[in-house]
Amino acid sequence: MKKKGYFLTLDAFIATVIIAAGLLLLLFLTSYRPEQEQAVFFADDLAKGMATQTVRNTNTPEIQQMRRDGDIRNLENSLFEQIGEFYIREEFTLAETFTESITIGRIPPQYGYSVRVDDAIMYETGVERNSSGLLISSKVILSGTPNKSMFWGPFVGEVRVWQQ
Amino acid sequence: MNKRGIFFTFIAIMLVGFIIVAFSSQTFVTLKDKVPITKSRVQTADDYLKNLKFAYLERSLIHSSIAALKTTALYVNSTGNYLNNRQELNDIFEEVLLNGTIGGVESDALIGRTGAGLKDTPIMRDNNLTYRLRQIENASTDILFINTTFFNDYNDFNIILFQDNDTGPFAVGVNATFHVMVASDVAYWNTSFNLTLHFNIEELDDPMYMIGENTLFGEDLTNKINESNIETWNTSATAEFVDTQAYRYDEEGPSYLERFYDDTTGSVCCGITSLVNPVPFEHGNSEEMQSYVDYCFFHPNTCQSDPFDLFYLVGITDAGGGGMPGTPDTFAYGLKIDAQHLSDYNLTDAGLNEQVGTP
Repeated sequence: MKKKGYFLTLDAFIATVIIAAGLLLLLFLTSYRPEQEQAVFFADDLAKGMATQTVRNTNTPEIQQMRRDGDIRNLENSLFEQIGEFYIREEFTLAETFTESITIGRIPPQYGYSVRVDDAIMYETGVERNSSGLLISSKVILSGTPNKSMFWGPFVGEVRVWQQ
Repeated sequence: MNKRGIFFTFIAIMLVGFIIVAFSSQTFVTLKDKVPITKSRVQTADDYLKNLKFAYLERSLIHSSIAALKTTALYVNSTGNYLNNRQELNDIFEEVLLNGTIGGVESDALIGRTGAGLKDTPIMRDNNLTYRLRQIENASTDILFINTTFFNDYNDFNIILFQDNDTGPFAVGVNATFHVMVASDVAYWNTSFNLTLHFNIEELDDPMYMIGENTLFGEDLTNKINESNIETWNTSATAEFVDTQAYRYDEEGPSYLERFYDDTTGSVCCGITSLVNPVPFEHGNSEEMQSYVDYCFFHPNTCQSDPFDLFYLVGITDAGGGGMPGTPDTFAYGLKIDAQHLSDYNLTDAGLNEQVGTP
């Protein structure tokens, strides 16, 4: 009878360990930090989208105006290359307006983001918080030929996304 | 009963041990965390490779080719002699394109482009293809932490310069092969690209205007390729053509590339001609008894064997009675066209021109 009691106590103890280990395992396997993955997706999607979509295939009122004014000279430029071209021409206001028009609404307001060319900020929302602990960066390489005699790049084009 | 209890307990412990080892080992946890990161790195490298092929290399090849062709024309100008043949043109172009040298000597030095002024800025020093490839190799390492290595030998690039039906007369094609290895820390690509690209030759110097005696007509004056948009030819259109120093398709004329090595046999796909404008070339000399169609002008007696086959053009050279031109201050004074080319400009009407030497 006494021995049976020991065994049952041991059995209960082991069962408790099993249940606890199982719960811990389950929690560990299913837990994730969605904010980080979201930010990664936002940064990557924005950078890659701007690197692959051409000016010709993008239609915003600001871009239409820039085309009419002759500020955009090559419709086959990708959006990021066009920002780079504004940067090379030192037309930073145009770069800011252009970048805002193509990125607005693409990143939820709870995230801040900036678009940079060669480490110079072309457009930024909010204030980049170094202490946020979550700042995701996505980079592409940019180059361009505005005319036959000029070649710029390779420069880094960068999108940074962080939690506000 | 007791033995069964011990047995079940033992089995339970084994099962727990197995589950813990199988599902919560450090290896599994690490891999699980690494999968999206690895995927992201591979994707980044793959995107970079596409960007390298379809953007950077294409741009670099076209931009460096234009600079190399410009340099080759200036080199021909500096030597005062045409190149020997298409092969020599291709060889020189290839060396200039890849290394910025001709015969091992810096091409910028050979053509006097070593200064800082607008007209003597170096053309190839920071524009040759090898420089561009080194630039992207460094950038990919610094920016994306991806190692890019072009492992072409000089001859592996297989640079070929050409014009054909696809390029048409106002574009040049260039073919090049790139062998490249792209390596991130999780994957690598070892691949070759063969690029065939066309580029417009507008604004490039016409070497035929730059050789030997031709340059005497204007020391620093050359003619730049400028495609005419005239579709209907008559006297006023021809006058505009002369005034703008433009070019038109002419299958009897040499192509742009043939102008480097003086092949005037004509090119069905890509022949072009201009009319030499006597005014900027200070060549309003009615005594020059040759056709002013450019390749005829620079190669006397190519297009006519007898001066009587030449024609003054009313309204352009202002031909007077007796087949003589007007006054030296007349627009395009001295310009004549051979009978063979007269029809190209729709000027065969006897009332519109006057044959040289007509009694």
